Amino acid sequence: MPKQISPRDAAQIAMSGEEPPGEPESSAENFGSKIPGSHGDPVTEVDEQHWIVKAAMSTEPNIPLHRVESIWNPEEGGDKRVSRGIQKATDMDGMPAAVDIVVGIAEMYVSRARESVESESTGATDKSVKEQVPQLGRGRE
Amino acid sequence: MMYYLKDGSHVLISGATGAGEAFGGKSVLANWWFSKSVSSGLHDMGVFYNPKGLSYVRGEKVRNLREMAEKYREGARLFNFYPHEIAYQHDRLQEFLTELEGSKIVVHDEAQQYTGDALDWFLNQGGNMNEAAPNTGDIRSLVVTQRAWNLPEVNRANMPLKIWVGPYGNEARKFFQVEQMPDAADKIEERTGAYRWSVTDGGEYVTTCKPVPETYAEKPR
Repeated sequence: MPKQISPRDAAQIAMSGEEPPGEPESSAENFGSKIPGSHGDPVTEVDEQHWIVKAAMSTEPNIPLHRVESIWNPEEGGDKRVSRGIQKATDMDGMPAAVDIVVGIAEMYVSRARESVESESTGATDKSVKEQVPQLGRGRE
Repeated sequence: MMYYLKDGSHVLISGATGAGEAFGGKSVLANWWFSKSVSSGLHDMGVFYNPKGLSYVRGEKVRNLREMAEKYREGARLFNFYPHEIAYQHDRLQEFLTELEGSKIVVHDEAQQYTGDALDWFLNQGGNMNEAAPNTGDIRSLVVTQRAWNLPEVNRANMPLKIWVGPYGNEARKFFQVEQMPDAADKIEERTGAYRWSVTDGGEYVTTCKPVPETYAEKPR
């Protein structure tokens, strides 16, 4: 362990330097008003300016293009992406029960409507076939 | 709103311990609190007394007063003090800080390892330096410990702000029983969860907050 110095000597060493440059990074009001409770690190006006420049000049992560997944995927996206976006925005892992109930009722309605349309179209097809079949009984008379 | 962050009162941070991922978060909370206090200008200097050598603590890493003094002279004001001798260097840190100008915030992590004269001084006199040493500012203490009931009652009495971090279980029941805060215990049991932190002030429930950003649990780049 390095040779110890007295606390008083250490303080004299510490205060023998110049004052640190610059003002505090953010105001006390910002620290007090943006506490957690909220997501992410509280960001002050100064921090935002630095963040923008840093974001514009950033070169990381440097992932090869062939490994980058495109965000455009109409085959798998659509309602699934909307659902995921809602979950991200609201910080909910699963779908709330109330949404499940509402969406489920709507799905039931749509499903039954489809079944009804399908059954009606099946009946119409049968009828048109019967009209096209010649009446053998009449021909013989 | 959030007055306890700017208030100069000493703070006791305790919480659930365990091997699972849901436990822990006390030192991370202290890491966030002390670093933001300095960066926001609330305090001129911050020291995280780090007996375990936690890698994610913010600030200049130093191992003795000489290194801290030299870094301070270069302009650093946030320190991660990883001591060689826990109790001995804690006493010397107290003497050093009383010689420096400006207000300070000090995290005493794993405080149960070095209960003694220095911690008594920090909690009894450190928050009112105008009387003890007019040339220096107040020193606010954040005391982090797993078994808060092992700290002397006189020390716990000097920390009006008490925070519980993490899930509610047997340890929480004992903590609130020792502190005689049954009403606060009920409210915190309903609201707390992994890494969430609940604030009490003078025995009264104040609020429960979401976890601090995960970056404060990661080694600084």
